[in-house]
Amino acid sequence: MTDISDPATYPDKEWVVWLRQTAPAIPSLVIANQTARLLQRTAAIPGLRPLEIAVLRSSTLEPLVPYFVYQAARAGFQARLWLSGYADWQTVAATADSMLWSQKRDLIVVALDLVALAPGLAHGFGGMDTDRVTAIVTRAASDMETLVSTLREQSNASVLVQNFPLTPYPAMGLYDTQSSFGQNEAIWRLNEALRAMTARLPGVYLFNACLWNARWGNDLMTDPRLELTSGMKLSRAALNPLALEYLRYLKPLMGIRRKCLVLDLDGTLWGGILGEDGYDGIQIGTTYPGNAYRAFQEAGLDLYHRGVILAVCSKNNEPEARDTLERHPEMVLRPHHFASLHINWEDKATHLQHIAAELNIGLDSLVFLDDNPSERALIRQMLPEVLTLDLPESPIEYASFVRSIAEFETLSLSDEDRQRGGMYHAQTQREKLVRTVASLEEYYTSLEMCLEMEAASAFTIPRIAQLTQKTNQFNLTTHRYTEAEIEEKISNPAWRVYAMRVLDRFGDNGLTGVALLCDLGSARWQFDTFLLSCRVLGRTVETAFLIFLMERIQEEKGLQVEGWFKPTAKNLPAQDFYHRHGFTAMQTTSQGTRWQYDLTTGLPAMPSWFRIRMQETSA
Amino acid sequence: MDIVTRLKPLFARLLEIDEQSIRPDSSPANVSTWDSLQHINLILALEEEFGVMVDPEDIQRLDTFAGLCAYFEQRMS
Repeated sequence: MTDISDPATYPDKEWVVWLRQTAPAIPSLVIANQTARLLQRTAAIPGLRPLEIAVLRSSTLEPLVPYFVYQAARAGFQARLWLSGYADWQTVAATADSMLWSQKRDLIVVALDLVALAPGLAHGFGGMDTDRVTAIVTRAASDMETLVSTLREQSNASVLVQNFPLTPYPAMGLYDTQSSFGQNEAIWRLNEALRAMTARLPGVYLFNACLWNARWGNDLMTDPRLELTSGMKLSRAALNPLALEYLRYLKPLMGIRRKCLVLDLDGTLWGGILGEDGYDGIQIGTTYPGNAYRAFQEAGLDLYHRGVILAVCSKNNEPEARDTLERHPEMVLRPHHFASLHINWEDKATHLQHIAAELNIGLDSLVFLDDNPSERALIRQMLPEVLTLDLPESPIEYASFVRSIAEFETLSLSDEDRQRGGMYHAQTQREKLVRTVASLEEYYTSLEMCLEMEAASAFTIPRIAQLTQKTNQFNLTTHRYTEAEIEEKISNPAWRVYAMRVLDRFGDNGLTGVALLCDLGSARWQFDTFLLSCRVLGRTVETAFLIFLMERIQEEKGLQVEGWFKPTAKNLPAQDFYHRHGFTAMQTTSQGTRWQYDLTTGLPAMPSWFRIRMQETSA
Repeated sequence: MDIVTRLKPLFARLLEIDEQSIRPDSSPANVSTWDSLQHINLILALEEEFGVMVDPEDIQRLDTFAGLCAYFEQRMS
């Protein structure tokens, strides 16, 4: 990994990789400054889009610039910024041979302070009558329009005009809000005039500093210490969030937009696991944590109305999942909101390719949200065109997170945008697609999975029993056991109890696999129980666990191993498990099918991407 | 880690100078990159590094390497 503490190790050529993989999301001031300096000095960097920005300003913004350049680079831009002087924003705009016009600009930001555009609204407001205030507002709006018109006459650059935060301490105190035309109403009227102006002028957009300030808070985002000693109004805490806010505008301005939000179900759209917790047990509703997921769904619905196409990509049993979306009383998003529902047990890279093909959009139009980091890693690795975002750890933050995705922002909205989700839903056509998931093995290898076989102990017995109680989907026999029953089996010499922990490079998935083996005599062994939590499904863990156990049986001089598959309403994913691993069906009854494997013929191949560790029983 | 060892790389990286060239009396007068804007960055970076807020009176007054070291030494003790 590149050591970002040492400027000598910054990448010369691999900037894009470094920015994507190593650059921290929230840089320290030193890293932001150092990186930005290099980015601004390096000639055109391959993979980054050059961007020339001019900023007309009236106070110190220099410390903000490195953060902006840094975050712009993480978003794929090599931005160069030119800042006006504190007081010459009008003259540089009007002078054809000024520095502002010394080169082509892609974007011009007008980031003036209220005191520069309308001093009367910032200071000394208390002594003014209504007519005077109206005159100031009208004059300020007209000055701004003159400035912006000049900018547009001189160039094709988009213009982003910043409005003004309300003052937290109006001159008349609380009376300000009670009176008919107070200081904050005056600022509000000026902001409204600016909004009307930007709506009227093509290529001119409003940067809502007032909203940004409301979200983060004036006390946090300003620093009177710095303002009074150094002329910088912003606090250190404001630098990174403000840079990111500018990027939320920059992306739609530069045409960076994604069309489709692909959502996982369990742990993303609702809490819990449908296959284990059931229709009644998943978390969605009006109490915590269900209300967090509901807020997330409401945010999704807002995106739908904004023209974002919604799709589902989930490993689940389709009939159950569809039924839940359709009938669950607390669900906000219903099947008709989704243009595409991909619910099955295939890997998610294949899912996403199907979704893109079905909607006839590119993979580079998809944004993928999944609470499971290993699914995200799979998509990042196999489908780098898809924008895979890291959902926050806590569902409390899901809603604000999805509402902040800049790739879904638009600065103008058409009727078609408003109806797009519905149109896609109606037009969905399935197309055949060649499945090209070639490098799944690479993905598995990159997960660095380790299976740790644990001895049953006072610590593991409760979890083992719980897994037999709760696991529905990947459970071959669905035999439910209490802790006492598990203890009994452990002490029974004819039985073997295995518990498996799955670790990968993202961490410990916990005890997620259980197998109970029973010696039937005559060198025949039977799987009484074989189950995996669906947390680790779809990663060939079941194969490795099975082969590991078959090896143990061989060690115990077993010649044959058999197991029942007993179908239930929920264990469809395990249906072909024995068949896939070379077992032969011996007998079918009303209970299910008994499968058998002759160990003298050798074992199926152990997947090469697992490390297996044994923890010996101390008993 | 003593304060001088902690401050030197930070100074070197922000002001784009060699750590070896930093002397106790390094100041805006003898380090050309140490202008008023970099001074704000230095103060902010030090505040970030040490998790303290510099008093307004001290923001402008602290303009030598030794002075800043002594200030943070005292604030951290």
